[in-house]
Amino acid sequence: MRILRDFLILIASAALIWYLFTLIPSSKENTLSKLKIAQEEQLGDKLMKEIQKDPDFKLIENATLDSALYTIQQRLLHAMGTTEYEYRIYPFDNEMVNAFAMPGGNILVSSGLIQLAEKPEELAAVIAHEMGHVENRHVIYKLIKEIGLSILLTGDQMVLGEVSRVAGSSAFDRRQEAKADEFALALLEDAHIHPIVMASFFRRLSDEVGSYNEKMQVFMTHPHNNARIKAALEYKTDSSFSAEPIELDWTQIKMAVSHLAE
Amino acid sequence: MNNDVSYHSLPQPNEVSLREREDAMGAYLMMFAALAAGLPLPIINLIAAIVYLYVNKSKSRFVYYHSLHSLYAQIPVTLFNAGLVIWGIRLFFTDLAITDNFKGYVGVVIVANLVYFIFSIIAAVKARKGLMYYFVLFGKIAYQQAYMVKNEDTQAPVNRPPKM
Ligand SMILES: [Zn+2]
Repeated sequence: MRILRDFLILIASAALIWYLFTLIPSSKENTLSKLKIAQEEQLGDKLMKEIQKDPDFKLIENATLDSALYTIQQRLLHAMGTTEYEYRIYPFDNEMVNAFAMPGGNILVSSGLIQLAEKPEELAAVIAHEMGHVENRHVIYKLIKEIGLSILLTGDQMVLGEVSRVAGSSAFDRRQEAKADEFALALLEDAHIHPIVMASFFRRLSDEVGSYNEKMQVFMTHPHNNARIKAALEYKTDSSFSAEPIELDWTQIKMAVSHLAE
Repeated sequence: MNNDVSYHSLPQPNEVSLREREDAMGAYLMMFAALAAGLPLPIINLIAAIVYLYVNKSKSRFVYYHSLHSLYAQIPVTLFNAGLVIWGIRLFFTDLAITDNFKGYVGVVIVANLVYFIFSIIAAVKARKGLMYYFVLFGKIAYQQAYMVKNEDTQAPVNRPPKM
């Protein structure tokens, strides 16, 4: 019937127009494309130097931990394949369960988070999530949004203080969190780490909220813990998937970390 | 499907009175005023269109057709606009980022309004000249509704034998 045909034509044109408009790059992407990865790396380096001057902020320097983090990082990077970022993972001494991504692929994880993880795979899940923020340029977008591109590029001391405050404190939006999780789950699978570790880690985190409320600060800005646990549990791995444990003496590493706290 | 539907004959331009032409044209033009007034609440223009239809329904098939035509064409545009208002408010209050889907939707809304606007003007001009004009889909539906011969129009009571 011709009426039905007309109706389908209208629906199809609306769908086509919808699709075409989704392809238009947003102004956010335009702003981002102006900031080269190299510039972001530079900013990241300056920031790390700046942060280390803060007397309240103590990077952990421990060979055992460093090599463990390196092992985890290499496992993930190997699975990621190509990346424009030069990742570096920095452990810092803080009993709060905390991890965040700084510009240029610098990822900070707290000793509290390492203590909460029951195996290296769980730490890998958190790092994979932060890598998701980096790869999707969420970090630098947050900074551009809150500080402005031109100010960001001046890179003077006062700005750096503000930048580190913004990078370490304010939250990503829900869609960015979901995207970072999505990235992390796929990356874990590719790295032969069962994505379920994401669920087990965040479930433990949720369970401990009651007793360690104040330690949860940053992960509380990662909202909808239940939704992300559910997503991790429902993630379907490929039929050819096989998990390969990360060969690390986790007890020893945690002991190295807790030793520092004393 | 019923194949023996018949339609009332269409009036030729010289058979349409000036009054009818103007009322038919009005069906399209008044929608613009209503659409503008209905912008914050896109349902208002639909109500206006329905009122216009009922006022003019009995005038002539020609006016009835154009009123229906304009009303039907407006329904999807109105729904799209209402959807945009609702989606926009949700974005504003829940600090969700503007997604690709939203961009696509805005595109559809803009194109739908533009197309509606352009074709309504064409239809208004045609109606003023005493001409029929058919939009895709809506033209056929409105024609069917305005010009199809309904049973009660033709069937005088007839005695038939029982079906054996
Ligand atoms: Zn996150």
